[in-house]
Amino acid sequence: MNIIEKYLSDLSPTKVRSVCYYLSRKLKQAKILKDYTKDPFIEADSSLPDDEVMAKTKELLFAIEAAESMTADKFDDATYSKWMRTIFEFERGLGLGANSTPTARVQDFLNRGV
Amino acid sequence: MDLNKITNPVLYSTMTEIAFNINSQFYGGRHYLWCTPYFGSNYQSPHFTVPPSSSPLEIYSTLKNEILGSDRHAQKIPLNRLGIRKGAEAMKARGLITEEDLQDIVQISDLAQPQQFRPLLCVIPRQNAIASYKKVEVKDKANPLSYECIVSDLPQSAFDIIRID
Repeated sequence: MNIIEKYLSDLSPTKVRSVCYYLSRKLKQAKILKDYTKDPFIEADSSLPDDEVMAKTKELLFAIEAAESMTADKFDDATYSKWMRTIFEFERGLGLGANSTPTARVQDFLNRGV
Repeated sequence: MDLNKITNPVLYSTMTEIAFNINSQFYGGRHYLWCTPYFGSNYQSPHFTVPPSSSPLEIYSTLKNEILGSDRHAQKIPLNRLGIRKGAEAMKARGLITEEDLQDIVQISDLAQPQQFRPLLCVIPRQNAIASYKKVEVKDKANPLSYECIVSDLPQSAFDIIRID
């Protein structure tokens, strides 16, 4: 069980997806925006994600930083990419998966251009 | 930033072709956009107050490079796939799409080829955006000098889309 599974195994799929989303934004911003303190939880309208999602995102970020013995803004490209891949793969496991047969509507959509 | 405090006449945003199509088919042609009044040159200037990752030109170039396969550490398209799924969850929670729609969007985001994440530049007259703008009421911890805002539920008729080759 990796760190992400360990921290998220008791959450609903919807909350897991939210944590993965905010965590990936947090890592991206740490990597790019060292002197720009944009809040990764701010989205549209007026709502923040629920408290459990925000708390788990922060806990998981600290756990990842502890595993690497450095803060996320100091991650090199390889470390950053490794964690982003891990997050994406874990979140992707919540869905139907690329090996599933697309519905007719999905296939029609994928064949279309703008 | 509060859109009403931005005086520039035009806002810019970069979205992907697949996001545009999802918005068109599943969300009634309503679009969710992070906007800035700066297209994206010289972001180190004190007058250009959005970070590189928020520059529409930078986002456009990053997506284009990832599609061409020239970025070894490509993360923008996977982030976009995740963002599409997160957005669909939000729309389901708002009661605007069905569970079947959500599952189809998840599958689309999974199966779409990188080429379907081609960038589109959105050019939005500020006056058109104001009608759809919803102020973020939470305490905004972003850089107070940053000129970024979110416009949600923006109809297609309110902006133009451009491809840059």
